[in-house]
Amino acid sequence: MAVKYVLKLYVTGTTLRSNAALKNLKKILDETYKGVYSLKVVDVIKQPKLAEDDKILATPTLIKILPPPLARIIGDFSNREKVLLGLDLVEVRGGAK
Amino acid sequence: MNKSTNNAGWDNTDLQALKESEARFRSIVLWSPDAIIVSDAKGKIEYINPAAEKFFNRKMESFTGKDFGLSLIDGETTEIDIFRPGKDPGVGDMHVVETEWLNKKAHLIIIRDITERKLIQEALRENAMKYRALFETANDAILLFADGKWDDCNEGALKVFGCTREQIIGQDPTRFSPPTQPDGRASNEEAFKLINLAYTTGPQFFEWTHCRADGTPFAAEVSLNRLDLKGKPYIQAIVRDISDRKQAAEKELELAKAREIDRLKSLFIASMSHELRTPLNSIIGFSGIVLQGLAGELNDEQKKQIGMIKSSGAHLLALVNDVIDVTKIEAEKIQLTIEEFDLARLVREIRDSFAPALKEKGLTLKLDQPDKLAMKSDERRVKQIIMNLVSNAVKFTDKGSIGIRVAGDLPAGRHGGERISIAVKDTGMGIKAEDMGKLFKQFSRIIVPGQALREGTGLGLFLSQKLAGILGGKTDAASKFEQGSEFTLTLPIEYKEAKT
Amino acid sequence: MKKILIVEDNEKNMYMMNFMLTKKGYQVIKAETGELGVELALKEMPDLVLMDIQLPGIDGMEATKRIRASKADGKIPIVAITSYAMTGDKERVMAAGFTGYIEKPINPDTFMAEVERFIK
Repeated sequence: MAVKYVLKLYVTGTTLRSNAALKNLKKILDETYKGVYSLKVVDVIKQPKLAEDDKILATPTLIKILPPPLARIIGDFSNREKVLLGLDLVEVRGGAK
Repeated sequence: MNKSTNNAGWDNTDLQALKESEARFRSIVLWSPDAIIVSDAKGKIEYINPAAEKFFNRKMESFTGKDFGLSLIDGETTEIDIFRPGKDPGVGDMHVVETEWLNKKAHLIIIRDITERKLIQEALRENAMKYRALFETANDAILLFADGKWDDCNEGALKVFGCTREQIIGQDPTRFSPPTQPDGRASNEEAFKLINLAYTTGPQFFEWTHCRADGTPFAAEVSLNRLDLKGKPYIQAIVRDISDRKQAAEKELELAKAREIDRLKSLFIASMSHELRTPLNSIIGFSGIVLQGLAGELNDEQKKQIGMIKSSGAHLLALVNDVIDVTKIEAEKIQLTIEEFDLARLVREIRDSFAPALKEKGLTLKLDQPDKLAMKSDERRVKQIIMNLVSNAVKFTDKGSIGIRVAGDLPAGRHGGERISIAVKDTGMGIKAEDMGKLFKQFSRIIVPGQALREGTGLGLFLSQKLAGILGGKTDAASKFEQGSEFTLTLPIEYKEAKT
Repeated sequence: MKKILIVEDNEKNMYMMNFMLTKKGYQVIKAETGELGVELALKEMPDLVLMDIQLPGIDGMEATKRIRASKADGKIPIVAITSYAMTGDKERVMAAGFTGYIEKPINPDTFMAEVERFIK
């Protein structure tokens, strides 16, 4: 089972906002793309250089690296449809294998 | 009319109007305190205003062309963190609307800087949590009072007053106080006086007697503090239960008093015994010296009378000694000197000391004891008891004999260890059965009609019994009226301090 | 002639002991305080010291301790005149450096015999 979706989530510290964003995102990813996504979480406070390299301006920001095209969304990731739409992901019926 | 036109053919008036309009709108954007960002449909930044530069701590150049990202939340305000190297992250209220920019779909992003507000909020929240934590976990009772009654209280209050929260909230402040304070003041009046003072002049700190829910009073330290919350004046009361501390202090005082009384007792006994014995020294001493003829020759009458002075002195000394011993016993101040000694030798000494008295009355005294009998006890007190028993025997026997039998191998007593017995038997007048009970009592002198009251202090047997007890033993008496008596002293062969 | 130092503050007791001892042919030196007793003991080097325990100023125990501490006491026998109630403890008396003790009130019939026991 190959990883199809490579994602990077930038958050600021471990605030309620950061934790909620991560939780919401994981829920959506596990529901829709379980086993085929990889999510890296970067704390801009701990790794500001990475944030700089990726030209992050605000958080929580989620970057879709694969599959192309590159996509970048900001929000709390509580709305599933909006997240999938924003990431330019098409939902595959019958599971993502 | 010939309108002026510029090079491109524009009407100058129109151009002017356009320039003015542009200037107006530019001002709004340039001077807006909120950050304004315009991004294209995909999120790429087209324009930022000076406020955005300031807020993001970046120059315009570093923004343009960069991806802001698409906001998932259109039309509503959402909180985001602002990443700005060189500064702590900021917090912004972001509002995004879809719009047009140069005839293309664009996003207008307005971000208000709420970093300051957030910090203050966080600080307040922390403070509130800290206070709440202190409030709840404090052992002391903390209560809030407003509008004449208790408004809120912590867990500590429930413990201190021994009741539920419902039993406190809504009550008037004197519900948990007795009607009067220890100094007689009415609790009601005093409480309201103090609460008023706290409202008007400042914090009050005082001792107070409260009552628990079940009515038991307890001593407390109270502090009253005015707190203005939400525009309303509250009184915060902190009630500390100091009953333990008070009890400990009282106990300490009692102990100190008891120690002082004890010290005075010892002092009294010591000085009394010294003071009483001092004049006796002269009475006995000088009468003795004169009787020896050392101060000159005496005639028979002088010898007789001075002899009476001496014997009275000796009698008085015996009384003083007995009374001092009784006092010591009552005050529990008998001090024992425990050492090893030969009981057989002691008994022989006692026999020898009674030789003159025996001779005078024509009595014989026989000893029945081993040659040596080592024991460990207070020799002085053992001697005192045996002397008392033998003295009684001699006193109450007019003819016949006295026997002292010492047995050293009695079975172990209650406290373990061997015991010895010293039995003094006489052929004297004996004691009636009904008088036996009075024997060991203080000041008991048995009166036999037709007989002169024998000399004595009335304390001898009382002391003997008490001292025997202190030494770990006992005294017994058996008698047949007009035939004789036997008094027995039983003692452990080795004195052991009684465990309290 | 043997010398005996009596350290006693009570006049009558002093008179009594002095009377009996001089009658028996001893030379008696008197001291009414503990301090004087220490001074005279070391100065006169008597054959025996009779030391009352109850004294004003330093008591008999302290006086005896000082005499013994001086190292110049020549091992004079020092006998305590004590009412048992005061000291309460024979060990304490002996520990202070006394050679022995005589109990108060003094028994006129046995006093001399008791005293002469201590004189070498």
